[in-house]
Order: sequence, then structure tokens, then C-alpha cells
Amino acid sequence: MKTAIFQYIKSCMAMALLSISLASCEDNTGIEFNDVPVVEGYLFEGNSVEIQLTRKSPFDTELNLDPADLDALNLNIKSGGKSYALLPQGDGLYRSGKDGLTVQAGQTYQLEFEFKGKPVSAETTVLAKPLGFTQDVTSISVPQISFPPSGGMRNFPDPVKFNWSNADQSYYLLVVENTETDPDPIFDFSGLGITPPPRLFRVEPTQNNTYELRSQQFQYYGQHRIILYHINAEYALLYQDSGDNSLNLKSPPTNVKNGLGIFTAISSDTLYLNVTQ
Amino acid sequence: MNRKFTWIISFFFFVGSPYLCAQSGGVDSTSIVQLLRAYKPDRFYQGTLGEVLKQLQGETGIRFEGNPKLFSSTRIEDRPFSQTLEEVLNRWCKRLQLNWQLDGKNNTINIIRRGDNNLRNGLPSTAVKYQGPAKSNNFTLSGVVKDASSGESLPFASILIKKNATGASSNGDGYFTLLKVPSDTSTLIISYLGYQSLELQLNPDLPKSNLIIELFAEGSLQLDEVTITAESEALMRPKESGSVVQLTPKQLAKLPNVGERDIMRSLQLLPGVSAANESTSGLFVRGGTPDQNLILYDGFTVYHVDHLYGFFSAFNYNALKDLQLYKGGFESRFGGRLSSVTEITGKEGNAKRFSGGGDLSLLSANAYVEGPIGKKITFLATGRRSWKGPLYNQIFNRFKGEEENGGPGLGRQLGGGGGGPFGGSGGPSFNSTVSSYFYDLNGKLTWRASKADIFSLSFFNGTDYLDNSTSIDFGAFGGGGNRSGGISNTDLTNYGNIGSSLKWSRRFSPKLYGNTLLSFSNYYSDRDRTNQGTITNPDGEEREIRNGLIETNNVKDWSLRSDFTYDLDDRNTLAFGLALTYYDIAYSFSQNDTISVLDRVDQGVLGALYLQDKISLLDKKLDLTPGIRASYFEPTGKTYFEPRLNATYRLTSRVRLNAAVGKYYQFANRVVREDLLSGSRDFWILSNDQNVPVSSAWHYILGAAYETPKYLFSAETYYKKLNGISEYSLRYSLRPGQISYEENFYSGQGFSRGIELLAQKKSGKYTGWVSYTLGQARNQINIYGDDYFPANQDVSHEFKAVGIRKIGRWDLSATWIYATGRPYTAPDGGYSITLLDGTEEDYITTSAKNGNRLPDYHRFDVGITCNFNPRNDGNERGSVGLSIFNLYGRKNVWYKEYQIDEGEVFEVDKNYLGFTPNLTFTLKL
Repeated sequence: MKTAIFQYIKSCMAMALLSISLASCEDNTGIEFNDVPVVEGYLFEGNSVEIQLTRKSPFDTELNLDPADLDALNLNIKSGGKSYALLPQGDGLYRSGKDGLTVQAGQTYQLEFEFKGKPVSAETTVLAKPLGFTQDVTSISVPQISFPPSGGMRNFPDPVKFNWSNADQSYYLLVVENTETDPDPIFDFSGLGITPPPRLFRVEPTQNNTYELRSQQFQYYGQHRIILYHINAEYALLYQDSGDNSLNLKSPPTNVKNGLGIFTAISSDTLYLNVTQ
Repeated sequence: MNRKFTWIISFFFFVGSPYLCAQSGGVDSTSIVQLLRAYKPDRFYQGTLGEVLKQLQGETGIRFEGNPKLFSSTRIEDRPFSQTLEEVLNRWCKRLQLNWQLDGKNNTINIIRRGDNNLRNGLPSTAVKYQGPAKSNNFTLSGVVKDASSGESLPFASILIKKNATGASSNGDGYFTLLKVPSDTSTLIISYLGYQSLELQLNPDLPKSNLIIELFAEGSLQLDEVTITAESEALMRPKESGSVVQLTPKQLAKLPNVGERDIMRSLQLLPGVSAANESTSGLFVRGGTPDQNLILYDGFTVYHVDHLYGFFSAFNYNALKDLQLYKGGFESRFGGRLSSVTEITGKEGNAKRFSGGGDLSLLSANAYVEGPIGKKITFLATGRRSWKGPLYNQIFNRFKGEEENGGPGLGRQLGGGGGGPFGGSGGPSFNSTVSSYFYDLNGKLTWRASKADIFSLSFFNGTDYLDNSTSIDFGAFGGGGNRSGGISNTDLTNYGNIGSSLKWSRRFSPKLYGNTLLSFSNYYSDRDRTNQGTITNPDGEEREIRNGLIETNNVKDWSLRSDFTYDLDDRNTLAFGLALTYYDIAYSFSQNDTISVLDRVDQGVLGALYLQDKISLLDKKLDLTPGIRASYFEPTGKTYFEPRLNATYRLTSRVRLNAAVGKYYQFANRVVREDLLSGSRDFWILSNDQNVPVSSAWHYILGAAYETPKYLFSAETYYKKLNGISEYSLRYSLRPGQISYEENFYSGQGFSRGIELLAQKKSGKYTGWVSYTLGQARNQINIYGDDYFPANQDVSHEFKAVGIRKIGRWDLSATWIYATGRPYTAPDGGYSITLLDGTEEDYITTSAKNGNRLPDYHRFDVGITCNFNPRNDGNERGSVGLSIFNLYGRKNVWYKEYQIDEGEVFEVDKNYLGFTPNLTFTLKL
């Protein structure tokens, strides 16, 4: 009896040793990098086509990826039954050649190329130029605010109202850009050493047909260009909160199949607004 | 009358005659011969040969004589049934290598050793086996198979006619019918896992209906019916039809266990059932998921089987009698699942005496009581509850970390421990309200109203309450110490099952048997992982902050089912029935207390009819079972047809081939909610035709087996094609400004295929098996791309070795499992895009869906059990068992957890249990 039990224990020990030796042959469990191209292609009505290709950066810093891969690809744009080759310009930049490719409203464009043996493709349709884009005023006066504050109550003008037609509830993006060379800031915090705010700001994509710009949104005095972009849903998704936090990891929005990034067509209209003191 | 008389006689013999053969007078030799052929001993005999013969003498008046040393050194424990005294003596003597002879001169029966011719009177033996001609031919024999000790019916026992290929299995209630038994002198071979197989020679005096066959548990010292053909010591038995495995809880104690003797964990040692997951007791069968495995416990569906983070199942082995696992190609009476069926039969309770017992391990305490109430009713009640022993704490502490926002390693990386972030003048104080337990209750009441009717009421409740909540009161902080506040972290997981069934079984005739079952099953799961905090500013204003997630899932299932079998003739057995199920399934998932991500309440009725015929062909070498199941699902308004066909061909007595093909539908699915950062979860939801389709599968199975009395070698291949599989992911924003996430269900297709090899030693000193499974499970869901990706449960190679050695009272066992690591998806990089307004947006990207593999899983478990000396009736008194789980302390990775902080990704391995010993003490009254 005892002998048998000792034999059993010895067998167990032998088995354990064998298993440990197996365990020492660890397999490589590093994350397998999913090498896919990142497309950045904005098609503007009436313009030629320009596509910037990059690739995602691996967390694994020891992974070497050859940047030349990105310049040796055959990119094609297809539209209306025709195929147009894009020419590499270096650093992953591709442009349409002199073969008559010009982006036209209402047309659908497909981007196609092969990367690491997989077909990469994306498609977008050029939307019509915004219609009926109007503003209720062309100029507003905004008092300057400095630090430390002085004086009494300030009077701010009413919001500037912009309207446009949007019968189909498509997406619009409003971008406001100060066009002055050296504009004066409305909020003068120079004494505090704060980095000056950007001269361009945006309003989240909307499916409405109106937007009111409040005077407090402006950072500088001077002429402002108000661009209304008529955008596709695929682009509007880029403005979603990525949600990448400890509770949630979201996949980047993209309309590129077997790739990442954005390939989208945009049309726009522009108005101007002068902000004075 | 005769029995009463013999009892009266025996009473006097017991009272008045302390010595064997001391009674003067006795019966004459003619009467002895009459008694030998007419008297049927009908009780349980136990004790030394002398004591037993004294009992017989008391009953019959026949005096027995023999060597006193022989009489005192030989033991008998037996329960004859419907056999004459002559047959009983023949049987006992054959087993004990003895002879018996009638001494006509002294009117005694002499018991002597075989080969010993020193007979007192030298008279020839008058012992005669039944040698007469058969009185009936091609008759129908029906009866029931029971445990000799407890009177429990034994389901799915095998009853074969020796020298004839025909046979039958007992049904779920232990009843069997054999059609066209060649003669009433044929010999039957009856076998059941964990019991001594036996041969029963029929004779014209035996009843042809309601024949009670009692089997003795393996290892007990009882004499068997006529001849012990094999000790069925195997832990599991693959059935002849292929893809079906039987397992009896009686044998579980032999296996290494970590805390609990768990039948679901034991199933994971079988080929084709994945074992490399300690976090769920559910079964991944042939590339299927646990929700695709239908679990029927006494007829009602159990939707979730996990206790304590899935470390073991909610099934208390003390309440279980039998388990059948159908790994694929299952017959038409089962429906509503894509992959497999686990049919569990609970114990009815001891019909012969009251008994009880219990187990105490480092994890839980477990007790049961069972017994008869009158002659027709039996009951069983079991209860189990965890206690905060060292093992419980080890498992709880290991697994609770998964519930927290970041593991312990992560906490160190981010410096979030101690009072760091809240360090202030007042200093934080931590209050932990960790309380956690699980329990389960089983109860069953069985009323054998008549020989034809059985009513049983079964109840089951298992609950886990895992509360890991903490609160931090960081007192006064901030400038001047004039602010105060606190944060409480609620981390509560509460889930469980309640199920009950009322079953009426009726044997309408020896050929027609029916079950009607009314059942209710409820699975509930509530998870609250929220952080609540209040901050009071110097003005006394209180601000509440709250974030986290709240998730609830509630599944209710009311079912009515009727199943019938009809033995049309000796070549056709029809099975038919109907089932009606009303589902009420609710799921809600909300984040940050206010954002309701998903809130669904679905109800629907599923009705099904089925018909199948088991046909024996080619001189009963070929069994074909074609069947059809038709289901009407109210939420979709469609009817679904499921044709199925099983075939078994016995090439020789040892070689058999089997094949199966069939279609399967599933209407209630457990959908995976993908969570890359802290591990995916799943929830039950009812299919519809909108975002969660009814899923379906085709099974194709081909196998071969070579079986001898001691060994089994089998190979089986399978291919499953799946459609309509669903997954839920919040990883993707489908449209700008999305608020409702109803449409974040993604469906696709998949397949799994593989080959299983098994070599099993079924009896002898050493038993066990080695198995290897080569498998592949792939899914394709458009949102993840056009290509098939490895399913979460995909395991390429899995090798298992199970060895059991019995040495006297000791059971030694060892298991080794090796499995390829499971696939997972991980953050692997990032990129930036310049937007139209000139700003740059950064994104974190992931690897290909399940494009990575966790390290290979392997572990070695050992167990040693010392069984106490059994009682005279062969039942155990108890045991002490030591198990060591993961003997060499392999750090098997459960999953990877990621924390993203300002664009940086921190990775932590969440491991399964390391070296874990456990001690279990079992006592049976």
C-alpha cells in the first residue's frame, strides 16, 4: 500500500517536472501588430485629388516598419466607369495626374489599392454645395476683456444667426477662422503667460439648418471667414468622442475597408463676419 | 401468506436459536427440495456466511452446516430478487468458490469449499439449475433498473440480451422494455456506470413485466446477480451512438477538485469539451459556447451554471444521479440549442431508509438528507453554502480584482494606491464592506403513485452574492481644510437561478411511455459597478458625482413539455412529443447612472413538435434514427424545421461506426458584450428578426470506435456550420450623435470543425483516459471585416490525461491538461488624422479581431482520497480527500486588462489560480 502511494507521488513529481519543462518553452505572446494603412483624403468639389497615406504607429517600439512601403502602392480613383491612377509624391502623398480627374458634385468616387496583399477601398459621394447660406449681420462689436477685470458690466451683442437649406437633414460643419495677419485678442490675458487661443474654431457637426454664433466664442477681432462644409456622415463620425478611457475602448471611426482614416468628399460655402471692438 | 409464515418462523429462530443448526427437528429433505424451488428470499442479506445462513434458516427452517471457520471468514451481502433459494445458493456459491449439497440423511444443506470431497455423507448434490425448456419465446420483457442499496432508479442503464445484438436502455425513470426476447431462459447483461455489470439468467418464474433489477455499486462487496462480468470503474462512458457521454456523480470524489466535486468541471476533462477556462463552469463543446449547450436539470432549463466567478458549477453533486452529455448530432427531442445538450437527472432519494451526510471543504459546507415517506414517496434535500475559509478567500481575492477598475498591478503603475490622490490634511479612511457568499438548495419529492405512474417535484436554487464595495472618507482636504467628501465604490454582483419542475411519468403500456413536465426557470444577474462620491465645498454645497455601469439580466422561462416513446416493434422505436415555452427576457445596461445604453424587454412563445424513429436494420447491426423537429417562434412569426439523422453501424462486436447530420435552431442567445479593456461579458437576449437573428447550425459528424471490455479507442470528426451568430459591441459608433445603442448588435456566420481522439482504460487497477482534440472555431461578422476570425472560444490543440488508481481504501488520481491559448484582441497602436478645421485627432487602434493568443494553458492536478470502511450494505461512510490544484503553479493567463491614460496603454495579465491545495471531509450517515 505505502509503496503504491509512494509510487504515485513519485509519478506525480515526474509529471510535474515534465510539465514545468514544457512550461519553460514559452511561446511568443507579443501582440500581433495589425499593419494597416491610414488614409487621409478630402475631395473638394472642383479640385484635383490628393491622398495622404500613413500607417498606424505600433505600441511595440521594437517593430520596424519600412516607410517606403507607403510610396510603392498603386492607388486608383474610380468614378463614372473610369479609373484614374494617383501618382506618388513621396512621404505617402499621392496626387491625381493630368488625366482630367476633377471632383464634381453628385459624383461617387472609389479609392482602391492593395496593401500587404489585402484590397483597401473606400467610397464617398460629393454632396451639393450648401444652398441658401445666409447671415443676419455682417459685423458685431465685442468689448475687450482684460485681466484683472476692470469696469462694470459689459454689453455683448446678440448672437449672429446663420441659416442654410437642409431639407434632407444631412450633416454640416461650421468652421470659423480669423483671417487677419496679426489680430488683437478679445480676451487679453497676455499678462498671465497663457498660450494664445487658436485663431480657428469649429462647431460640432449638425443636422440642423441654422446656428447661432455667440460673441463669446470669438477670440480675436477682425475679419472672420465662416465656412459651412456640407459633409458626409463618415466625416461627421470623426467628431464623436473617441471614448478611449479606462472603461471603454472604441474603434476609430473610418469608412476605409481594410484600413483606417477617412476618404470623404466635401463641398462648402463661405461668408464673412467682422468683429470689432 | 407464505412470506408471513416464514417471517414468523424466522422470528422464533432468531429469538430462540442463537446457534446455527441448533434447532432440533427442522424440515425433511422433501420439504427442503420444495423450498429450494419455491421459496424466494426477499430481503437484504449481510454479514458472515454463518450469519446469513442463520437468517435463511430462520426464514425456511432449513438447516445449513459447514466448516465454522469458513462460515465466519466469508462475508455475504446480497439482495436477491425474484429468485428461488436454489438460484440464490447457486449464485452465492459460484461467487465464493463453494459448493452446496443436500444431505438427505440429516435433512441439512452442507456448504463446502470447491474441490473439497470430504463430504459428510458422500451424497451426490441435488442442486439443480433450471434446466427445463423455455416456456415463452419472443416475449416482451419490461421492468425497472434500480440501485440495490437505495432503491433509486437508474436512468440510461444498458440492458442487453446475451448472444444477441438486441438490447435497450432504461429511460430517464429507469424503466426499460425489451421486445422479442428470444426465450424466458435467455441471459441479460445489465450495466450502468459506477455499478457492477451483471448477468441475469431469466427463467419462466420471473415476471415478464415490472421486473425489478437491482444493481450494486462498484466497489461494494455484494454478490452479484449471477456473474460479475466487469467492474464498471470508469468515470465516464462514451455511448454506442457516438457523441454521447455518460457520467455519474458517484465517481466524482475520485478526481482532484478544488473545493467542490463538480460535475461540470469533470465534463471539461472529456475530449471535445474545452477545459482551459477556470472562469466559467459552462461547457465549450466542439467550438460551441456555453449558451449553445442546453442544460436540463430534471427537465427544466438552467441558463447559468456558475458559482463564485465560474470557478465551479451550481450543481451540488450530492443531489445528482446521472448526467448525459450529447456533444453534437443530438436527437429530435432536444431543441433550442446549437451545440450540445447536458441532461442532468437528480436523485429521487433513498427509497429504503433515511440517510444523510455532508461534506466540509476549505470552501464550503454541504449537507443532504434523503429517505422514504411511507412506501410510495421519497424525498431528497441538499444545501450548500460557502464559508470564508482560506480557499474561498483565495479564489475570491483572485477573481474580484477582475471586477475592479484596474488590477492591482495597474494600480501600482498609476500610483493610485494609498492616499495619494486624496492625500490631505485630514487623511483618508477606508471602509471595506466586502461580503460575499454563495449557496444552493436542491429538493426533490417523488411519488410512485402506482406501478405505472410517477410524479416528481424538483426544485433548485443557486445564488451568488459577491459584494466587494468599499468607501473612502477623505475627511477635510484642500486649502484650509475646509472641504470634505468621500467616495463609495459599489461593486456588487448578484446572480443565480431558481428552477422547478413537476413531472408526471406514466407507463401506459409496456410499449408506450410518456413524460409530461411543467417547469419554470429564472436566471437573474445584477451588476452594479459604480463610484459615487459627494464633495462639500466651503459654502456647504454638496455635489454628487457618480460613474460606472449597471447591468441587469433577467430570464424567465415557463415550459410545458410532453415526451413519449412507443416501441412499435422490435425494429422501430418511435419518439414524439411537443414543447411550449414562454420566454420573458429583460436586459438593461446603463453607464454613469443616467445613460441607458441598452434596455430591452422581450417576450415570446416557442412551440415545437417532433417525431423520430429509431430503426434497426441489417440484422440489427445498423441503427438509423431519422427525426424531424418543427418549431414555431412567435416573435418572428416563422416556422423552423430541423431534420436530423443519426446512424450507428456495428461492424463487429468490437468495432462500430457512427454518423450524424442535423439542423439546429436557437431562439434565446447569450450574446457577448465585447469589452476589450476589462474582459468581455455576455447576457441573455431573445432573438428577433431585427437586430438579433435566430441562429442556426448544421452538424456533420463521423466517428469510429473500437471497444473491448477493458479498453475503448475512438475517433470522431465534426463540422458545424453556424448562421446568425450575434455579438454586441460598443466599440463602433455607427452614426454621428448616436444615443441609442440598440443597433450595436452584429451578426454573422461561423463554423467549427475538429477531430477528437480518445483512448480509455475502463476497468482494472488503473482507469482513465488520454484524449486529444484538434479544433478550429471561426466566425465572420461584417463589422470586424470580411475574413473569418478565431472565435473567443477557439482552442487549436487540447490534450488531457486522466488517471485513477484504486488501492484498497485509497483513491489516487491525477489530471493534466494542455491547451493552446485562447485568442484575444488588444490595443496595438495609434494614429492621427488632421481634420478640416486644422486640428489633429488621435485614435487608438486594435489588433485584428482576436488576432493574438494568450500563452498556452496547462496545469497538473492531483488528488488522494481515503475512504472510510464501508458499511455492511456497501455504502460509504465517508472519506477524507486532499487535492492539489495546479501542482506546479503554472501562471495561466485568464485575460489581459488594459488601462488607457493620456494616450498610453498599460497592460496587466489577469491570471487564474496558482498552486491551490484543498482538503475535503465527507461523512455519510
